Amino acid sequence: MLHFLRDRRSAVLLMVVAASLFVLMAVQVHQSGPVGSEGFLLRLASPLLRGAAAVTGSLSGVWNDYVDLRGTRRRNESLEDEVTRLRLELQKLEEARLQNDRLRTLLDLKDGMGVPSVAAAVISNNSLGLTHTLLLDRGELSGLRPNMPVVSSMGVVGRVWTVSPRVAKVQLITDAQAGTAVLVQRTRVQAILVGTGSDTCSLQYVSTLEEIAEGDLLVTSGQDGIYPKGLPVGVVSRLGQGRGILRSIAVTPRADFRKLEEVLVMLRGDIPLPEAPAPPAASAAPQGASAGDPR
Amino acid sequence: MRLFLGILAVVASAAAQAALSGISPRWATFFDLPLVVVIYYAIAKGPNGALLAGTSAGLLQDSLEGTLLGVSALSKSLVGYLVGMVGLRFALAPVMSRVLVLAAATVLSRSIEVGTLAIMGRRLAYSPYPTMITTMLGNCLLAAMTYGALRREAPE
Repeated sequence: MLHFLRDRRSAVLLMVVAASLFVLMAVQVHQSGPVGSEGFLLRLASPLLRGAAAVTGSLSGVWNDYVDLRGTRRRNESLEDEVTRLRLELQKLEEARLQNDRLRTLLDLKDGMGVPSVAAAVISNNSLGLTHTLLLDRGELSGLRPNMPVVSSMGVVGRVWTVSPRVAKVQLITDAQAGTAVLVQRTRVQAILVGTGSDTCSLQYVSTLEEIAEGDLLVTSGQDGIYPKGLPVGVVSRLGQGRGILRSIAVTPRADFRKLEEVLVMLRGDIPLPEAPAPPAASAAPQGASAGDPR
Repeated sequence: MRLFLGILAVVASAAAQAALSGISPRWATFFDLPLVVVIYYAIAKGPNGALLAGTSAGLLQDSLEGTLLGVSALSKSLVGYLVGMVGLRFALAPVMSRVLVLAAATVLSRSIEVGTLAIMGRRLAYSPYPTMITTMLGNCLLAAMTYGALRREAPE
């Protein structure tokens, strides 16, 4: 018997252990509560458990911090994207608001003019070039014809110079070849405003005897057959001595040509098309003064 | 020294399992750390060492987890013994074969626990089988990493 047990020592050990464990479990079930050895085992393992919990707690803390950091970074990136998107949207809205303001002003102008007109967008601005011109997105198909006045909410811009079916070229009043019949609103003195190729125009054929001052507003006189009477053109910005009996007067246009985005073309059908610039009259107010070729 | 390291590994695995349960009960179901240690000892030391390691690890685990004291001890001692016997008869040197043995041992161990609890009249609060599969996969993953590393560290 002993020989048998010695040969099967492992199996016997297993059976003893298994039986002991079964007894242990049975006692617990019978008692409906923990047994004394459980407390002993718990006390035995508790230092290790606390140590393991501390280590894993630290690791867990580090991991949670890392996850939080990653989450924060992702959230930060997402918020930055959103801020960028909202900024763009805000810019678009601001742009739309400004355009709305401009178009509303233009609409008011159109209603107040009593002349059929067409709004056009400026697609090319050459107000600083050798010839001061604009290109509009409207042309012959929209009813535009050469010599039709072009105005903005601030005042006269110029006149249609050449037209194609869908595009029109506008000669600005500041172009060196442009001329506009004007009068001083305050004193009703008539003169010709010619472009100088710079930001300002020159008021010509004004006698030194005429009463004129800086800040005086110039409006179209209607004498050139192009612009209807009464449109604001510019303001006297500088008075010079000039030569002889004529004064040298610089005029700053009301409209800021560099910032033009929309203009109004007045559809005047009865405009005579001058073949050549009228020769300047040296003394009297000009009759039918018009522009030259900007080319 | 080896005995001390063995005891330390058993106690540490039980403590780590309990600590893992404290941090994340869900993650704790992916592993049965004491069983991984017991199976390693079963293959390395044979059935007697595995029996002792399984019993002590299971008792610690039961006491720390609050289950019926002896359930894990019984399952781990039986499974450890069985794997130890298998290790005596078959070559389980390749890591992959050890991992496969661990997978089978995990299923067997959990089945013994379920069966023992049933015999003792304890009802299970949930179906053990999904947990059994996740534990088996987690154990295999852990074993694939640790058994290989331990083999390189101390070739048998």
